[in-house]
Amino acid sequence: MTLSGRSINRIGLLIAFLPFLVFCAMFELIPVVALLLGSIGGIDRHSLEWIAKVFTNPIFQKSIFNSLLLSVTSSLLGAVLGTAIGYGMMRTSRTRIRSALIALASISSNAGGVGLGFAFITILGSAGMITILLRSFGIDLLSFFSIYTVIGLIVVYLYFQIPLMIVLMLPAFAGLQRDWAEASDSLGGNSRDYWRRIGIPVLMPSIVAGTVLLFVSSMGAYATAQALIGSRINLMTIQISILRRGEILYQPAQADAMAVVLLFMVALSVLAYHLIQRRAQRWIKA
Amino acid sequence: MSVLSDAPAALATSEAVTPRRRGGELGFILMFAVFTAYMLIPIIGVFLFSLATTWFDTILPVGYTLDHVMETINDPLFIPTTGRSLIAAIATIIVSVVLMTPMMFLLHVAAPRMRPVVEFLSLLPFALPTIVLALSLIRTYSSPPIVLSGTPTLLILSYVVTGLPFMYRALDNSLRAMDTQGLSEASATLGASRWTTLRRIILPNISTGIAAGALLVFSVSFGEFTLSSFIVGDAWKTSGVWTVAIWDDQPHKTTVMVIIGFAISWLISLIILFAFSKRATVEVGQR
Repeated sequence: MTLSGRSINRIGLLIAFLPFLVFCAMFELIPVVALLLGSIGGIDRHSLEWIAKVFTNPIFQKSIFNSLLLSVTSSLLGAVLGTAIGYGMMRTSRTRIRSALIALASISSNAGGVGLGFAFITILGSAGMITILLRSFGIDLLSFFSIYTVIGLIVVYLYFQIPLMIVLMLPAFAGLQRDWAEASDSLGGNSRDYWRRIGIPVLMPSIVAGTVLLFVSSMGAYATAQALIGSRINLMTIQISILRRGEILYQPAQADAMAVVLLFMVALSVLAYHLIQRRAQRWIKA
Repeated sequence: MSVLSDAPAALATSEAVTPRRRGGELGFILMFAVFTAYMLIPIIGVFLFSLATTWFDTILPVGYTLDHVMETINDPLFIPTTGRSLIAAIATIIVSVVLMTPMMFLLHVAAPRMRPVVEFLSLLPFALPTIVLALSLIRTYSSPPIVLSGTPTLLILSYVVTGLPFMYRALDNSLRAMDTQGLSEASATLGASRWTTLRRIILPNISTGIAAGALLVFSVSFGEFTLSSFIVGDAWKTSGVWTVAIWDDQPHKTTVMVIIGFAISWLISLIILFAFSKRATVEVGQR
């Protein structure tokens, strides 16, 4: 695979790849190693006390619990709803509606950040549009729902989780080949047989991979939560920020330890995503 | 954390799959309506808030005004913060393009064996939550030998890291789409150096890929909050940090900034969706 009539100029190649490799070493690899070292308090006086504290301190335990609750719930709900809507988009005969929904899903899956948090306050906060609309019907939303809780965050996170799942699932639905349905038909299978034997087994890896990815996007989310709740809910990302910047609670080693735990959870999930995705690709490429 | 998908391309051409049953159309339409409302109502809410005179105990604002928009634009901090965000985003694009384009070209024509390494390093930021990246960089660059913490330089370089997956995919897709190997060989046969080939043959052909990558990089860096609040904070206040800082005292200004942010993000998504190649890219930055 070399250019014809030319031998590879190894030094030239090295110079071409060097800036990128040096950049990645300096701003990806070394910083992660530095974080790992920071979480044990440095090489000299290394100790696992900060890592251990992440799992033993009740406040930190609670932050892990809340982050997992938020991420598992919002990714499962997002996956179910996104798959259902994506399926509907594939099935509908109205192509204009389909194109519009594709555009809406692609755009909204990019949403997030602080803007999303503020947007939800304007509709579901104590003076929010929907809160007041419901009040005019005699329903006191705030008596059973608050945007500033884990449940509230789930509602907000679904804003990007659902479209993200749709966008992830569309190629999988497109990969369901009509021949398979016809083959199933001609072999005497009914609709239920088709889904049980063909549809769901083919789609399952994509659904699972998508769910894992939604989990990842929710676990690492910080800006949206920070804008919405400040430090009112104890999440891992919020806890990291408090430990790193708090004037009273400034504990950089503890912040690093919490970040390392979060990193492991997310990195393992991304790894799982890639392994499952590889299975899913088998059908999509077909 | 980011993702890339070819969903719209896959769908644009395909017809409805498994048209086995006719019923259910009404159910779909209902589902679509609820979904669309869910996606639009928060935007409408924040948009109305940015234009509202008073709005706290009525369903819709009492009156509408452009005062908040004017106040925001005339705020002495609007130009500096937005300017910094623009500078950071544009600098990020320049660094990303210069860092990656020649390398990706050589990856395709001369060193395919490097692919696993380049791919791993380019996609690694997917697995790195933004706040973890922020802490890692502060930890590394707060003490000698290299002190960069608190500088726009480190902020821009951190944006380059978060943009790597997008630049990689955009460049890789466009280099795959053209016959990079064949054109390079033809060019070499005609006596062109590799540099000339890159400049005269490859770059013009992958310019849309570079543009798509650049837009995505812009979209993840402009108005970004997490990295800028940790790395530079108030020392080099960006529009994202300013937007959050004024919420308690001047929420209307915050909503104006949020609308500007949404508008830019929507615009970029639409450009990529309709103007560029069949491949659309989904990104999950900025959370």
